[in-house]
Amino acid sequence: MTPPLNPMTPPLDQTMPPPDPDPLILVVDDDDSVRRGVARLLRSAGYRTEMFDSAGAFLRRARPDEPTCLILDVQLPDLTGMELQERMARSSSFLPIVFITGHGDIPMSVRAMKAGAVDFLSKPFNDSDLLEAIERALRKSRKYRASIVCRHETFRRLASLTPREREVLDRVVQGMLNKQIADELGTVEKTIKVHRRRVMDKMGVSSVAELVRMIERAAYALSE
Amino acid sequence: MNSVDLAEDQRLLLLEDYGIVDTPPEPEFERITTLARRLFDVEVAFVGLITRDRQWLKSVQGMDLRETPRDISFCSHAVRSKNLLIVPDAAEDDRFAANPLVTGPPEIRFYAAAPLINKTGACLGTLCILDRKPRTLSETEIQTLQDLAAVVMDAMELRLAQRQLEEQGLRNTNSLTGSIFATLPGRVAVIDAEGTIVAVNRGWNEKTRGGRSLSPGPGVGANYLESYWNATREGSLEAATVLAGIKSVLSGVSNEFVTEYSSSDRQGDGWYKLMAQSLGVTKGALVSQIDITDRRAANAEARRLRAELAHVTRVTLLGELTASIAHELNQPLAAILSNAQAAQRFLAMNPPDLEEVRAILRDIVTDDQRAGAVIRGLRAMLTKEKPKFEVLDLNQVITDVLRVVRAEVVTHRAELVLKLPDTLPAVHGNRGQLQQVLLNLIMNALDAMDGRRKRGRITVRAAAHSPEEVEVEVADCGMGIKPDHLPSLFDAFFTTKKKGMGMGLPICRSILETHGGRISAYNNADKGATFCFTLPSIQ
Repeated sequence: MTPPLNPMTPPLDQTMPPPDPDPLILVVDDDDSVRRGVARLLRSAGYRTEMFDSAGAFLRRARPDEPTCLILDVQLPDLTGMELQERMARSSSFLPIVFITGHGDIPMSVRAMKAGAVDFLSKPFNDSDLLEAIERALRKSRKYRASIVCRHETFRRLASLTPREREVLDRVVQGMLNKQIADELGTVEKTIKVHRRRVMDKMGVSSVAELVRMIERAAYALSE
Repeated sequence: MNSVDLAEDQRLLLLEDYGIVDTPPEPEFERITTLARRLFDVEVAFVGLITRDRQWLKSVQGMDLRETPRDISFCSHAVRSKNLLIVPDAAEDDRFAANPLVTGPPEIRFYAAAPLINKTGACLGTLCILDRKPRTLSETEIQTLQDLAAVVMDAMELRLAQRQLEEQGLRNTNSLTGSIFATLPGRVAVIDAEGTIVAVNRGWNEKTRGGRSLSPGPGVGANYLESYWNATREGSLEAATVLAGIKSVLSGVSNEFVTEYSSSDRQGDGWYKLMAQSLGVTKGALVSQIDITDRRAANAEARRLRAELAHVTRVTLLGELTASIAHELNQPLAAILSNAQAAQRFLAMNPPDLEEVRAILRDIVTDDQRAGAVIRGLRAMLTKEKPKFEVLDLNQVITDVLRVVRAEVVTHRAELVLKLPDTLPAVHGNRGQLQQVLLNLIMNALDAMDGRRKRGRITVRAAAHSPEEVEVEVADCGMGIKPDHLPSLFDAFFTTKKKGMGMGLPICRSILETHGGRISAYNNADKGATFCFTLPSIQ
């Protein structure tokens, strides 16, 4: 058994992201009363909140770095909530949204949910419904944050590979055997075995299956 | 002889037809006798007409006598013979020598008479010349006398013709006014200066359909005012008004008096229109009375239907706004619920955050009042009570409507600009109906701007440009009104919308008209249209 050339890279699952900062709830509603009421409710439940009276004011804010939930009124004077949702999807900034609306409109809620909204609440709504929706949104946000951390780590590890090792990895992931890879790269099977060992060590995986899943997850996170 | 008598009777009837006997002197005849006296240089000339028992002179010159008994008249001879009669010296003539006119004043000697023969051949009298000295007439003079007699006859014919024409005309006029009067609708009476009924029309004794009899009952000879006097004494203000009105016409203070009054009798309540018209110099008045109970009932029914229609369209209009209204109510309700549930949590904390709870309670009160204001604004529009008119602040009316329509404006991606002065003169009107007008105009403005890429803007402006009226404008920046649509804009069932009855604007106009206001529309110089209405202000 050949000793590893590098100290063993830990598996991805064991590279814990730094502990989550406190979640942040962003509320966009043009109605003063509703904003004040929702802000108090969230404060009473222990959340940090930020309030915006228009889509424009919200868009001017820097993307939050912490687990975040967006509470969005459907009917805003400048942009509708749906339009804001679409715009964020295009700029691939992921923020789980809980819609709130003054007049529940079923087709609209279906559209919002299809576009990835966490929930669609009609005013007036119960605190438990709102807080439950927020928790779901925050779980989604945390998961996304974690997937982003995984992706970054995967990319960091991929970047540590030599060009030759990267060539070997690409072919291993495609399911090629050592012999086939050696033939294609114009070398002997033994050399490929050494490269393969290094790739597995650097990427911190112990099986080809694990490696494939890791690459796929990184690609998926990119698309989300 | 009978035959003679018959001819004489016919002659007398004929003479009567001319209607000339015993009438005052007339210039036509005076001119002829004056001329004859001068032409023949005689003392006396006259036109005499022979009646049954006398000779009557229509015109006479040179003598005071106006008539003589027929038996002593010279002329009856001429009339009987229908021929020219010349007596050169009466004293020498056996027929006349003993005549008192010859033996006594005027002591006639010379006498010549030309008969007045009309176109039927009857002899009605003579043109006579007399003198106190004997004389003769030349052939020419005889001819002249006969010609003059013919002129007299012509004058008589002309006079008769004129008289017949006048009579005909008079008869026609009388029968025309008579039949008009008789057939006038309602109950019409001519009363004299004291109120006594002189004449009544045919409808006087008719009863109305409901069996109601129009007061006053009495006919010709009774006093028209009496029933009103009685009712006035019983304390009827309406009777007193009618009485005073008719009396002012009778005394000449006013030319006419018109009133509508109600009157109850055993058959029920009735409404009457009474008109008194002065008869001018004749003194007295023409008083007519028409039963307008049905007309008034129809008017009241029409008013009720109009109000009903306005209410239905108002409710329909609000129906289109349900989402918007729900939104306006759900906002404060959502705030209240969130605040209240937050308060429960703040109270459950250890220690409870009372500062937060106090702030929450303040907000809840405000939000509750806000929801209440939405409901209040709607109530006036939803009420089906008889439209109540009250003193209104249009600023308030406009604000109420905007509260209801705000969310609708946002849904249409439009904005609403409000330009209201701090104070406006008050108006007298029905809150719900005026809100309906505004709502209708704002909804129309939103529809007019649909489908535009640019964000729509509605400007609602109110102003008092004059002390008499308040003006409210709703301007949009939509597609404007097609010029050929402008004239029919306020007509019923005129619509350019796919789903629309075309009743909105006609009802707006009807509402404003019942408020003494008006509505108009025009296209703006840049784009869109402006609807403008005015209401009289209370000063």
